[in-house]
Amino acid sequence: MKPILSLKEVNKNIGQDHIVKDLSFDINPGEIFGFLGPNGAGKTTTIRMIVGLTSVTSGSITINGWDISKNYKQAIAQVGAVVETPELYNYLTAEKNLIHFGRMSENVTKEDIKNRLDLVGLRGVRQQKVGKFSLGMKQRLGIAQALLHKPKLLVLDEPTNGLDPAGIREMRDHFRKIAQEEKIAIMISSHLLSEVELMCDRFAILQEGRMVKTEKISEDRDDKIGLYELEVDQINRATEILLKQFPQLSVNVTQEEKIQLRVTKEQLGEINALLVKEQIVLYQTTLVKQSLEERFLKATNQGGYR
Amino acid sequence: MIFKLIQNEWMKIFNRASTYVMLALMVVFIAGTATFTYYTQPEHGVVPSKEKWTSELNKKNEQYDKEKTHANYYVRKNAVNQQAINNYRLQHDVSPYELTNVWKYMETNKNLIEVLAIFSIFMGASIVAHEFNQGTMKLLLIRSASRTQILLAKYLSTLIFVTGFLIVLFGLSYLIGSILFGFEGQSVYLTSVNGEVIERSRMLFIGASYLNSSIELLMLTSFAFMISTLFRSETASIVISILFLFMGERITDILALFTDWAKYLLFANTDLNAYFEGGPPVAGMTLTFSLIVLAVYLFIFMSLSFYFFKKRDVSI
Repeated sequence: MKPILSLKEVNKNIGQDHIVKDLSFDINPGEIFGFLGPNGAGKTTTIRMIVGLTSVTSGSITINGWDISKNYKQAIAQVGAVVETPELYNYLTAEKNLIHFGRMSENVTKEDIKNRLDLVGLRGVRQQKVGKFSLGMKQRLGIAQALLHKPKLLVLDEPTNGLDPAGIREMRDHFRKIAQEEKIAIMISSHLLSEVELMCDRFAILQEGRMVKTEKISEDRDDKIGLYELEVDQINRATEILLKQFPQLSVNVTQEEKIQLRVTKEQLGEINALLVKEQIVLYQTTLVKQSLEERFLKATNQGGYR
Repeated sequence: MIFKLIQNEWMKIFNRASTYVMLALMVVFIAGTATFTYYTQPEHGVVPSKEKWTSELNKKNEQYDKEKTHANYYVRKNAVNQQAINNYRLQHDVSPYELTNVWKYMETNKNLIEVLAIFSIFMGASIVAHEFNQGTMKLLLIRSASRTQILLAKYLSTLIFVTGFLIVLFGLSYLIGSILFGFEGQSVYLTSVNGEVIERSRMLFIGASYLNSSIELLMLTSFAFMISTLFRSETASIVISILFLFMGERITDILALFTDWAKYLLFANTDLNAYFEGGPPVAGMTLTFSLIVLAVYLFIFMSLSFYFFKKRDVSI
């Protein structure tokens, strides 16, 4: 599958500062890609380069096969973006804002504008001035604006800012639907890690301008340590045996009377065998998915796996 | 594409409150000058007799005789020209007191072009900087329209706006003037360039002077536009441009006293009416010279605007 967005060894210098360092990643059609990192990591600068607001110092950014430095017009026509809070024209109505941006692209019809207003649920207030909108409504109009010209890549910078939980869930469903139905690639930068986790297929962590880590959210590799919960009949005895046999492990007992431990799959096999040998009944073993937040903190605190 | 972009700018201009405030102010000012002119116009019966204005003109001429040897170039120039006009009036029996008609009223309203100059500066300064201030510029730039196209659309829209406003001022003045004051009265206008008196049609003179003023508006608008593109701040561009408007002419006049180089300054050249009335601010300047200087300034303003708008990164 040909990636929609492809960054190859992208660097950005501003004066003496090396803001983005050798950044490379791809985003595929239909994929939602989370772009994480603490403030000042270079996330926004990277997004600015992708949408053409800032020049690329070295390396290449291609969007649907078009190089942004060489074929700017064709490349940028494939991108829709909401950059931070969508600043729209407060003195224009919602509909006029979309008419305005629609005129800037080819082939945006009145029908498209209607559809996008429907999609974000703003059709009923299309004649109202944007200045009267809540932040959440503005955010939604911003998304309608970004999707107007049917882009192949949707770039969203902190898209859930100012949305209430219901609005966030709704938006998340929209993104999922759009990504799958229209085969659009979506890039989401966010500091709300739990949001990204629920939305994204894959994510990258950026720190000090460098890619610390990129991986799939849903799949855990075999060699990775996971957090498991064991449900057994004799909880105290089981804990004792485990601590004795695996003194290096941290073993916790949860409030629901389950044993929680961080082990690899191989270790889990050994534990299983041990418990059977000791005649402890193991009712259930569950993998508690390691939350993205935990991984994020781990990656950034340790300075990352390079 | 450029047509659609201008359409966009136009939509924004007509949805902003400031546009209507400016239009309303202009209407108020026109109503003001109309009221003032109406109540101060000389009545038929009280137009001074020939004896009266002849002695008045003679008295003034004596004063001008003294001023003709004054150290200041402006005072000398003014004395020569005014005296020439007075002599012409005495010789040809043309009274300096005239009935107010539509042309005379429109000449009064030429002063309102200064108000329009401020509006033009506001427009030129805000059309780019406002989008930066509001953060909407980035949404314009992340689309397939090139930066050059976007800036060009904004510049052309500003010029159309200013031209439209000038037409409103001219048209409304003509309309109100012809209703209130009619066409009766003198239809010639006396002017003097370097002591030579020229008799002109009032109507043509008014038309020409409004046209000449539009050159000044063009230069001021372009200057404000450049400042707004470079500084990206609405307030800064408006303040700088208005200071430029009010100080520029004074500074040019002062410098003109010391050096001939002043003739290369922008404001020494913006008032093209000077070539038809009174003579240029620095001796030896010609209309062609001024047009060339203005073209060079315009070229510099636009080059800087487009170069930096294209090149510079846009922060979010």
